[in-house]
Amino acid sequence: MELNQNLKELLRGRIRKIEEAKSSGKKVVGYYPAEYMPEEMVMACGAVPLGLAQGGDNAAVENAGPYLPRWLCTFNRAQVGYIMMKYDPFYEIFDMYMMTIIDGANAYAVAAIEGFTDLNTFKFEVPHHKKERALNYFLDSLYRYKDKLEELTGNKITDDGLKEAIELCNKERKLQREITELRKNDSLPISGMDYAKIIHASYVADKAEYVKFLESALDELKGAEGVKPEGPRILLTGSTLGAGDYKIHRIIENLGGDVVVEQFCEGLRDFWHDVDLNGDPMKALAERYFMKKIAHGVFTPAVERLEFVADLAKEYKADAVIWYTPMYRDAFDMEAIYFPEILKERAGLSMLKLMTDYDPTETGAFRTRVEAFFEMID
Amino acid sequence: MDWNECKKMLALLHYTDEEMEQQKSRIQRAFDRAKITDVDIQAAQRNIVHDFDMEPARMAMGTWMKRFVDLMLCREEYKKVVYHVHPGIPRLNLAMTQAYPDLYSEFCETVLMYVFGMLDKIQGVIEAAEEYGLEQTQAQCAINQVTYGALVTDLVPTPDLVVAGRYQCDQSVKLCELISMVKKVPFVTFDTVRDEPWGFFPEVTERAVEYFGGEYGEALEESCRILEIEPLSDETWKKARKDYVLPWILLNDAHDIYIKADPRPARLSNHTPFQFGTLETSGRYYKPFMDSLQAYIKELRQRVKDGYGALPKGAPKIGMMCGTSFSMHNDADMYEEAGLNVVIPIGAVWVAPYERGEKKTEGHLNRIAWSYIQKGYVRVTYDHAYRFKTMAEHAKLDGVIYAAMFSCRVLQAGYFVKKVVEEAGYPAMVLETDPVDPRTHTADSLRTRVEAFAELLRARKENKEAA
Repeated sequence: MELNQNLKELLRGRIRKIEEAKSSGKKVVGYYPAEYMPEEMVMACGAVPLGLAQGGDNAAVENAGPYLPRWLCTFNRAQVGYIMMKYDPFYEIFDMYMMTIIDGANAYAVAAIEGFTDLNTFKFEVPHHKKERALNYFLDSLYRYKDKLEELTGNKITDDGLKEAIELCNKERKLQREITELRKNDSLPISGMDYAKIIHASYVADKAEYVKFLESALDELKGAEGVKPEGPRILLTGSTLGAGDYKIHRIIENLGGDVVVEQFCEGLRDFWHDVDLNGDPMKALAERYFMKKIAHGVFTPAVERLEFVADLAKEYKADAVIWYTPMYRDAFDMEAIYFPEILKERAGLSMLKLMTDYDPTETGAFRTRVEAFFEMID
Repeated sequence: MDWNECKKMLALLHYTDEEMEQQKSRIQRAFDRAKITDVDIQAAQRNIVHDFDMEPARMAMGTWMKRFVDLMLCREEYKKVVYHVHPGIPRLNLAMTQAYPDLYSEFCETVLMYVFGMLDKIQGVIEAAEEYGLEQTQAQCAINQVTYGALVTDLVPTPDLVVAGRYQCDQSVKLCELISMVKKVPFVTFDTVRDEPWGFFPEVTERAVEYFGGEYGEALEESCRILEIEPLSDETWKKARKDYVLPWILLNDAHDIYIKADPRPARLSNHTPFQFGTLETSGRYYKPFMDSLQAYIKELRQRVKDGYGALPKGAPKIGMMCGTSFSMHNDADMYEEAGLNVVIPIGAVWVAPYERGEKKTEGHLNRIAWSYIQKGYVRVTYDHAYRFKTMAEHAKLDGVIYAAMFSCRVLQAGYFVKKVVEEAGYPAMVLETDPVDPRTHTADSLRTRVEAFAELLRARKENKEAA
């Protein structure tokens, strides 16, 4: 497919381009990919947003050992590991690391980065239910973040600058939605793994270039004949899907199935809602990134998200759901106890739960379980 | 159940003959519900004799047994039942038990941890939780497993409401939601947020206080509405807040005695019943608990005066997280056998100097929020480490052992504590234990490390004295 080649082109030399931007005086803001940090604000002050969403690497998890206990979420331990190991250039190039604290697991990872490194960091905690008080807290945090970005870059964030960035990001979201919707077809124009790679690319690619890439990808996919999977159509969900964590996709695809839609709270971009371009842009960002956004799994009540996932499964004609989450993500683990009932009621589907520690030895056991699951739902 | 054996156990817990006769039917019904057998009772007799060689400690365990009997029978004896999921807001539990005679309000998991821990029965409750989906291997803490296991198996009556706050961890709030889904009962939770940078504590931001206080107030209103009770009056709050502080003062007196005394006046395990008795006190047994605590301090003072030593003079003094256990009856002994004098066994129930000042905020809800944040356990990060550093300085400790509770979302700051405490010049060690789940470790599996650490502290102390 031309699309895959274009994606490679898009990302080729990206780190060098970021270095060049830095040399010309631009600042780079790395951030934790939980979808509560508006990239628009970074763009509006002339800095480069860089989503740090790598996952799937057991070495990174092991390297977090001296800083965090082993019963902390695998993805969060991996983030600390990547920063400490210094072998992924994206995890070294930023001028500031922006961390939205979502839950306890994430709070500890953030503390390890603050306490054990000299990195320039900024953080705020995201409240855990959608109420007015929580929205006000979130908005207040965005204003604090705005001050910090202005201090870092020496540039003012203006309403016009924000609106321009919002327009570009809305365009990105619209294109991502349109590509996603093509997967409702019986014949899939793109495999689940290739799709995930496209979405993950949005964290590191230059925004304007990425939008152009999406436009051409959409044209190509619209005209594609597509492939009807021999096996089941799967909705993949859980807490986090890190970039590079494609073990589950490989297993599903090798067994004849395919992932037709996903919902993750971290590591895979949430593009379902746009930012309103009318009115105060800061308020519009808070409204979109906190109130409109599908709530993170740690929020209460969880029902909003779980019903959304069940309805998504129906809409994308999924035959089953695979719940795939890094280990020790306690809040999600609790939801996985009662979600099958909601799923059965709303979509009439079954669910398989898999927990990963990014350990290569898991693959065989996962394959056996997925194979048995496919036979069961056949 | 052999009533005579049961009576022997109750007598060890300072039940009077009259109480036993009066309560016989209630105790039998409660024990039947909990499926307590003669074997369990014999285990409890052994454990009481082994763990508590001070009578006040046994008296305090007696109050836990009374809370347990009430818990088993609460559905038939009270109009409404509310469970606060640990750690909850204990002041609220105290206020509710003082203000509403028809309302049963309790931390059911804490009661079970003490009593089932004593009966060697807690493992069954934890395994039940796992059978119903809440797995230890997915970092579900044993305290929450006890709550869930007890509810899904109907060991404890189904409540009318479950309440939890997020100030320490997400698990208790999500557990409330899970209980609500599984048992079809309403739940109320309140949110907290903390995002001060590393090094900011013990300062507190008004932004965090106001959010916590506002959330808590709303949760209270919602709880009263669901339980169909009048909101707590200012007078009730005032009394609850005052009563809540008194056992803390006494417990801190006990800590001060251990800090100053040399040799150590009592075995560590005696301290166990008082810690959560203070943290999660109940209005129903407030007086007998306070009596036991006062008797404990009186006896400690007498022992100091008499020069009694549970350990040889000069044993290195340490502060700990999770130094005592509900169900691991040899853990406390192991530290002492290694020659360590654990003067503050649970950092959370020690009152730090910076906690004592006037709270610079308006309204009692905000003041409660401030107190909790200043405890250093709200979204624990640097705060927790700072607390241990202050403890080491204040108590002139020889070292710190952070025995992290396996799968706990709060007590996983061991490496932060070690870094900050060591930077301040005190040796520190992180251990992986569990004060609730007896399957995670044995005292002997930790013994070598603890002995080596004790050896290091002794050598360091000798070198210091020689210098």
